[in-house]
Amino acid sequence: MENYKKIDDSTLVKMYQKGDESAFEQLLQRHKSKAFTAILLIVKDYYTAEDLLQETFIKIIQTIKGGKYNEEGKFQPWVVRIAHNLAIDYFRREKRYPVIMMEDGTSLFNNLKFAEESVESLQVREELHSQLKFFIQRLPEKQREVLIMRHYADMSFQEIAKATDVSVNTALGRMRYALINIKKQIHKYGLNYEKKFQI
Amino acid sequence: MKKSFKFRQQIIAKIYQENDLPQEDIFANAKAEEEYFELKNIKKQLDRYLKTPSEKVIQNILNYSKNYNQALKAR
Repeated sequence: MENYKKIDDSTLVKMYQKGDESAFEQLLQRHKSKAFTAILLIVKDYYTAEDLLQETFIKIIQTIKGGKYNEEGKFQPWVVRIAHNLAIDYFRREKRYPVIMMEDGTSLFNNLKFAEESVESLQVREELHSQLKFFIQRLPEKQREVLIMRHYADMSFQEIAKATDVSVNTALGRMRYALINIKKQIHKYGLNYEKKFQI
Repeated sequence: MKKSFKFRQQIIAKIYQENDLPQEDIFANAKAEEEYFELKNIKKQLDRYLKTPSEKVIQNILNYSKNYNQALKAR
């Protein structure tokens, strides 16, 4: 597996198409956390997120093995996009939210509704990750959307602008406010992030 | 004012390494410099926020792939 670490995604996909299971294992290890975090930020439940992660990679396996993969050079955004789609489907199945309209794969976040955060979640004893998750989930929808796309799908601001049908400047502006709002929340809820984050 | 707003957006692009805005341009303005370092720190913390699924789930996926591969070969 060590030798595979230096191989780029596109090459690994081609190797996997030819039957190299280690290539797939490398892709999975490389992208599991970002995909899983993106799902978890939406569905909030760890076990549901794990189920959806499995579904995500089953789709990936079937697509690649079926010769239908055509996302040359953009493997990670593709993975996270599938994960988001499945998270949306999950909400539809659960009927927690009204039907979400999607024109195409790139605009899938436009009407996405996230689960409400419970009051109990705000507890001082929460782990650092829980706190950050909480701060991200409290962001206004459009800001959270850009943040997830930029951090977990590794999409450029230009790609985000296209996917959300706004200008690049608007996408940048939303990202700026997302970061400012997280900073405000960290200060408001008394997290000593300079100590915890070892800045 | 409009220019200032756009400049702040350019700072965000700079933080995400999507433009070549010279740091000197940012440091020429004390408020912009402060925001640059503050938001850069927040970004750094967000980059660290990654959750990992259990090993069992990873094994399930790998097993599915192997079985899928074998099923394809058997056809």
